[in-house]
Amino acid sequence: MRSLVEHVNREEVFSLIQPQPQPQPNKKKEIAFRKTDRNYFEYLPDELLLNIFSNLKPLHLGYCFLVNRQFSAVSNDSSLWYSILKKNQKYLDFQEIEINEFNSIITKKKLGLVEFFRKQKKAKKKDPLYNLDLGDGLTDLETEDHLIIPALGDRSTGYSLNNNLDLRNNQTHKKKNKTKNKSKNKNKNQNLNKNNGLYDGLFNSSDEEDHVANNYKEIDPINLPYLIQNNPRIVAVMQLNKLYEARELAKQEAILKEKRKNITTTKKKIFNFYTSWFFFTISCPLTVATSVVKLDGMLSLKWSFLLIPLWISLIFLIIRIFMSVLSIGFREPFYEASLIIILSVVAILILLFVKLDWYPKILYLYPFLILIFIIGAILYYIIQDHKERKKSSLDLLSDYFLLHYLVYFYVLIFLFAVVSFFLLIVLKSDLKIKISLHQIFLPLFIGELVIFAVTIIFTILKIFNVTIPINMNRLSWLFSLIGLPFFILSLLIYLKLSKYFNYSWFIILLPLIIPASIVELVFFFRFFLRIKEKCCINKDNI
Amino acid sequence: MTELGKIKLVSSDSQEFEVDREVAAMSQTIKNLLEAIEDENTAIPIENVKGEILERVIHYCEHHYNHPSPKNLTENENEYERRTDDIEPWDQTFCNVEQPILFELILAANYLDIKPLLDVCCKTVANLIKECRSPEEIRKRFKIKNDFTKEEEEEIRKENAWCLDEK
Repeated sequence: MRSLVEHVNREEVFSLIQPQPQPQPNKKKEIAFRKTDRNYFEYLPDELLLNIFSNLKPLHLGYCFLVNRQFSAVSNDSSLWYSILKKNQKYLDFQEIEINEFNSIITKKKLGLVEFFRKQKKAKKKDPLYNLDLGDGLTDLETEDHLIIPALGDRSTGYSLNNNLDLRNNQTHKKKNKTKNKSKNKNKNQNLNKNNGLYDGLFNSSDEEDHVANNYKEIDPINLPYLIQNNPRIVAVMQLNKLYEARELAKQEAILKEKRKNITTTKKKIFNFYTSWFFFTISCPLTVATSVVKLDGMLSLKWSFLLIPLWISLIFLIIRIFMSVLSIGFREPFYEASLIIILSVVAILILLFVKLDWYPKILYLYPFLILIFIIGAILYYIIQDHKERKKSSLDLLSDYFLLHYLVYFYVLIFLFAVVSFFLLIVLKSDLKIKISLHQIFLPLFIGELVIFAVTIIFTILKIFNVTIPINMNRLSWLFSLIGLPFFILSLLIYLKLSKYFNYSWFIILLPLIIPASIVELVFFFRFFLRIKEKCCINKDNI
Repeated sequence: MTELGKIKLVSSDSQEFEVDREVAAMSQTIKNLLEAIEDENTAIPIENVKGEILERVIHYCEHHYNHPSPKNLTENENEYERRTDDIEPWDQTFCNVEQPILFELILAANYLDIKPLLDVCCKTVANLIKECRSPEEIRKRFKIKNDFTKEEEEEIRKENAWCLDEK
């Protein structure tokens, strides 16, 4: 014993104040014979391996059981699992396993543990051990107070820390079991248990020298339930499997729930999308039909009343877009952009019908309407671009004007043609300028033919796999292709107005009606196809 | 002749180390030997430990003799609560060595009966195991050969389904 005076010397006092020295890494060269591709656990006696394993939690102990025979034998040690059970006794319940039931199911049906618990799980639909995360060492369980299960109790005294088996205890159980199961044939049981690979896997997994394994082999299979009762690892694993099963069930349920939720939302989405367009597809032909009837002089309603179906569908669409914006915000560029387009269309229609029905003498309305439309279209492109590319407005503008106007030059020509067409109509009707009909219609013809021709050229290029500067998706292709029917339509209108022929408006509007009805048919076909497809997926998923 | 209060330890590869008697006495094995040997100048042979490892062990003992950890003084650990995240920084650096050395340290600590060193090394190995996320990873990390037959492995895996799902 060192005296206090000896102990308190200057150097030691200093060493207490100074930071602790870090160990110097050994700079000696590694000894050559030390191979790094060797399993060094082989050199450790089992008690040292046990010491290492005693620091592990159930999850990693479970892993170790699967590594190799040495690991399996050591990680099967009672003391390890005993302490785990003891530590988690709230959750890992010794007594819950109904031995007789287990015995009968195992021996009769040759089921493994997992199957056994699957059966049990089916019987008990809802398990309180639901939603648990075993994760690292069951620590998460501790927050779930309602899961406390009475466990261990007096039986805990029956477990010996160093031996896997309390043989004396087993003997007494053996006798009892024999009296209980007189009718059972011992040999039969033995065979059945041998057939049950589960036990073979458990008991043969350790080395032959291992006393634990030898002990197991000597045990009469009749006593397996008691053996299980006395092997903390098996008890723990049974419980853990049970928890795992419960958690798997919970997971599956959660996935199903999520799937169902997704399905309903997608259904809703499809429904919303199609209903809004459904109104359009109903209202547009109705509008065309009524317009034709009016133009042919069979109906004397005002234009704005005549187009009530169109108004309804437009209002419905606007409300829907507003609702979507309210519910999901401006996350999708589609809504914002289409809202602008639709609003501009509504404004145009209102002004148009005000002129047609009540104030025919409003001046310069058509160019104004076109201006509204162009502003709407530009805003649409800008917003869509901005949302999709997330660029600053300056970049966006330059990019927009340089790229889009160049690429969509033919669209610009078309727009210019439409504008000049309406401008000429205004000049003729409002200002009474002498201008012939073919002069008015000429720019429109050119615009329509250009848009059609460019579409055809792009389509041919695409067929021959030549890269084209714009993204021609099906929709834009369809819209561009509309140039041809519009050209025919405007030609017929021109012919009618210039009184070259005197057919009814219905025939004149046929170029519009035919493609529109084709588009509509395609639309309905796709709608039903989509719904059917979704329904099939639903059935498969559930 | 050794200095007063010092003893001489001889490793298996005949390297000699002079150590404070009380530092050496941290090893229960050496302590028992010292009690048995009367002549203080006798070199104590440590047959099972190589010089390189013995040097590290002495380094550990010297450090812990000079810096007794406060935890050891107030030891009231729960029997079932074993933690591996409580290794002191110095010990962590000390154990941050290649696997062969670590395992030899464990064997040496076991032979020399130095419980704190043994515990720290075992905890370090346990932590290495804990970093693995599957039995395969453990095998890979420690170069362990899978010596189960296919049938055995299948059965064991079936039985331990609970721990094989963690990904």
